Amino acid sequence: MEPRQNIAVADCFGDMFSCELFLGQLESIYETPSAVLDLSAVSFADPYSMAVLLIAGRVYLKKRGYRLGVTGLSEALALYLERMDFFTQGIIEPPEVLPANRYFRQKASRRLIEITPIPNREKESIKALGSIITLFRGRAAQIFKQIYSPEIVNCFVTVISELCQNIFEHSMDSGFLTLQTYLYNRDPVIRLVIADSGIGIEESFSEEKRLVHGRGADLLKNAIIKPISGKRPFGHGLCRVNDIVKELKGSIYLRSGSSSVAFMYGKFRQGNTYCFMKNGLPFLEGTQLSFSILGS
Amino acid sequence: MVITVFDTGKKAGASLPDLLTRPVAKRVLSLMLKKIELASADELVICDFAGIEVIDPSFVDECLISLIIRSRRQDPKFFVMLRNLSKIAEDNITGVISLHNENSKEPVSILTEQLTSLNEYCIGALSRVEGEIVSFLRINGHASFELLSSVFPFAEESGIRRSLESMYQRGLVRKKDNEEAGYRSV
Repeated sequence: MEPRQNIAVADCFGDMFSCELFLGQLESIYETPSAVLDLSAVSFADPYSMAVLLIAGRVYLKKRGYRLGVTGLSEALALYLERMDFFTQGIIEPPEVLPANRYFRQKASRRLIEITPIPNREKESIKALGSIITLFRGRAAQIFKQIYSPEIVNCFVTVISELCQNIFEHSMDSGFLTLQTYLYNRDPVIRLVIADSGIGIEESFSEEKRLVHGRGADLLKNAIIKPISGKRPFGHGLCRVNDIVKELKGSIYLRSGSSSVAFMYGKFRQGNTYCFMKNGLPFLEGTQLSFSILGS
Repeated sequence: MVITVFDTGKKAGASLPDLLTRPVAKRVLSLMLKKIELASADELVICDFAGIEVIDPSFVDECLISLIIRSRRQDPKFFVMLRNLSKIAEDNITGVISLHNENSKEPVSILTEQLTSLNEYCIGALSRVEGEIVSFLRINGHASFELLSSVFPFAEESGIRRSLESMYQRGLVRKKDNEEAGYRSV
């Protein structure tokens, strides 16, 4: 194997938007043999960024035949990634030295769902989904705390189910799910992320359907607000997810290929909706979705 | 005929108390239709969702919408009613049926045994008058054509006849022996 080459990564894993800085480096990372990401500048990795790292790592593994490495992790970051089962996915080469107390999992740290693979085979995926829902229901009181109610739990079950199904129905590859509650710009946030490294939304639509529903960010936007589907006459899942995020005054961020769309409900003035669309982003395989609400 | 959806879901391998995914929906629908084969003409099939929490939109589309359409097209026809829906189940069913009706040439609606959160006995494509007819028949049990015409005046007699016939075809009312004898609640 060739000598390892370190690639410095900025502190850009705080959210979906700053993560684009890392995605801008992907092309050079893929071209670098024995690449090791130097994360010494990284203070925090949100669930979306973790999922993106895994997707990028998977693509690197497919291209190179060996794993992308990481180095320079702070103790806090290393503990956090361990806690989230980041290294047990077998995609990213863990650093040589990990913190000694990494196996100690506190009860208080049940405000999350660890990174969980979603297989691309229907039977296995449904089984994985069942396990995730059971785990989620078991931890829901700690995840939601003061905003806990059976209704909000059931809303999230709907969202988890619909988004996981899109992986085995449309992506033609496997993916990951993770959930974390944390402070984001001093606000408590509950962030659910589902990501895959599949064919992406645009490829899952035929050319005829793309002529009708658009391309790039237009297609992503329509996929969220209209009952369109690449496979059938109608697909209601993302629309219902959008309805739920609207009811909960949260936000939804969908990225696929080189495009993204974000809907933010009730973030600014009461009742306002903000929609941001982007094309021409650095290409990343598959589809990544982040569903966030304010927690407590 | 009452179908206990919890038990049917268990046989279909669902991760209870939720009914999730299209593959599970197909299995549940298949088991339901097997039972419905034993139904007589114009039988009411009540789908009892007691014990079920979430019914996801994919399940609604694959199972319930298909069941509603089948109930109209099958010979003999049967009627469908939903019982004991959880709030999220009702919300998801309402959401899916609304989207379906906006985009399909075959709008659907389904009766509920309990009042919905919108104070109706039905979810789906109903005009205001049709919703009131369903409620009227639910409360009164049955009514003659003359009574319905007087309570719900239409500009022309043919208007109410068309409405009632359409509601019958959509599985929202039953006919009493013949149209002149009136209609009754499902």
